[in-house]
Amino acid sequence: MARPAGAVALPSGRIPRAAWRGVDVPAAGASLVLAGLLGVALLAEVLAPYGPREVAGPPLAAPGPRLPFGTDELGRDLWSLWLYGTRTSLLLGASVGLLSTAAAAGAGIFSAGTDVFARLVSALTELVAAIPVFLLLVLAVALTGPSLGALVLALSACGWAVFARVLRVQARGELRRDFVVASRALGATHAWVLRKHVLPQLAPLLWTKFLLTVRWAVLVEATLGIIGLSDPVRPSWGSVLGSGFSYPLLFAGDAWLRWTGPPALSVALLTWSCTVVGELARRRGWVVAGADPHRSLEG
Amino acid sequence: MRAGWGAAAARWLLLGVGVVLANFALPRLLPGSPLTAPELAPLPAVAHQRIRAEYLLGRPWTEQFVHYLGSVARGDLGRSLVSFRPVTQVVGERLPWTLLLVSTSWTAAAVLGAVLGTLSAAKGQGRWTSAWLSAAVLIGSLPEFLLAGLLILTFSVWLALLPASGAPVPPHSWDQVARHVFLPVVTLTVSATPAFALVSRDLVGAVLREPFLLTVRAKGASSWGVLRHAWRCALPSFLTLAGLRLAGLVTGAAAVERVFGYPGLGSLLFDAVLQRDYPVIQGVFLLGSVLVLTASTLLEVVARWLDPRVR
Repeated sequence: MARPAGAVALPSGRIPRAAWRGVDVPAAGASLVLAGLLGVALLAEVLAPYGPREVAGPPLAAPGPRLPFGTDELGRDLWSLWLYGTRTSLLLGASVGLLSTAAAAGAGIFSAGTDVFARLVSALTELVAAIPVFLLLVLAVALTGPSLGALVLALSACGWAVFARVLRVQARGELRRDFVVASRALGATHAWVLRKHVLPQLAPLLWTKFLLTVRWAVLVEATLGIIGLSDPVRPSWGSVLGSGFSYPLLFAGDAWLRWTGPPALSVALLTWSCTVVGELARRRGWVVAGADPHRSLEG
Repeated sequence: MRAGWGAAAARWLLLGVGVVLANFALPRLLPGSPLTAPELAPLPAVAHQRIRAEYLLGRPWTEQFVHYLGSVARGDLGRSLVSFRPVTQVVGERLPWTLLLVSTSWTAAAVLGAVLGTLSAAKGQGRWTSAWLSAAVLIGSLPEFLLAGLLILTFSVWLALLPASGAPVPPHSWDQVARHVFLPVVTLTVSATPAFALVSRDLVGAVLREPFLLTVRAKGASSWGVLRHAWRCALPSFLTLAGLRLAGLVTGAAAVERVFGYPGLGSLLFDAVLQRDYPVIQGVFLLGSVLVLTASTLLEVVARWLDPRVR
């Protein structure tokens, strides 16, 4: 096709129909959801009319002007519980995400040059991938007691090994690249190469791993809460879900909507947002082939 | 890439030993014990002595370990701290319910996911495909307990068709069991299908791009024949990956059972956690892990047997 001189060739050969077509609507929505939940978590005290352990009214009260969602079986305000629960669940998700991403990065990158550590990581990975980690977590958390710290440690301990193996493969690939060889030839130490050349290349992968681990941790915390394992003093989405599903008349009235509805919907929204934002990173080619975030990154 | 028979058996054995070791080590390494749990009523002195004697507490750990291995080898997992019945008996009563739930929904999700994934791989890229993928991601990210609640609301509360919770009282008739199992199975199936569909879409799509399928098409095979060829290559990997999903399904089953009041291992786990009945929790962990490990190993062996490139 003849083209007038000076015309700009569109890379895809197709003309965008409208300006908003360039915007990734799901990704924008997911980012907004994440920002909103983060805002709720940060402003929990400001927004909540009652404290997380404060008795606000009679047990199992219906919604009223002072209690928008009513109260739970101990008379605590369900609206305030959701606000504080958001804080606890996001804190747990972020802590587990940070800890296990850092552990995986450390283990994966430092084992890239050696084989000894890799064996251990490999064995752990096999075990974590082959058995229902959830049952292991139930046993461990039942033994330590379900405090927030114990939950974070237990989840992080299970969440790093699989990804460490992915990172190790990637790091080994990076170590063979020409500019690394050149850098070594110029006298760079191994530590310098790892910090200056390998880590920056893997950073986008770490971000995806972080998001998917947050997703996994929040979902597992909610499921542990339903099984009865949640911090008794810090309300979380899991603990509210656990007490809600223990209420025999949950589905008889509208209790499901105001009691289990907010935390269940929040878990779903967070899961979806983390998936979409993580997927965005993968589609932009940040995650190298062979590292499927659905299977290998979450833990 | 896929391991041989011997390697699969060795892996099964090693990981099984790992599970047995973890089951021994965790209660001894982690703080917390039924003897000192602050949230429980203190046990009578007689019970204290019996528990200490049963697990050889206070003796060297090597002695405890030998004793423990002997018990596991005999199929003795200790006694419940609450009902004082053998753990194998307590767990055995609930196991068939969970097996029924997990195996039915795993099979249904695998078949449904395979069909949907194949259809979308055969359609190729397009607007419908991307809409379909977004829907799959959305449904796949709904937590099982949310789906369970939605199904209870729809079928039990609004339509009043099916029981919301509980189990039929024995003796069980088939239709009664089916009525109670139906909603939990639908919940787990719906939440597991998207993952299976995405996996089979990737696998079948990759085979469809292989040159030999061009030959198959050139020889005039119908689209059904082409897909049959594609699945012959994709099925082994699909089975292996489907085996790895079993562990996730067990997690989902725990929440689903709890929401539906379904009498399986998930509900047992809830009761045991509530009463800090450690031997029962350990029994569920040991049995659940070994069963999932065995099932995924068997699937891997079948996958190897089916693989035309290895056979």
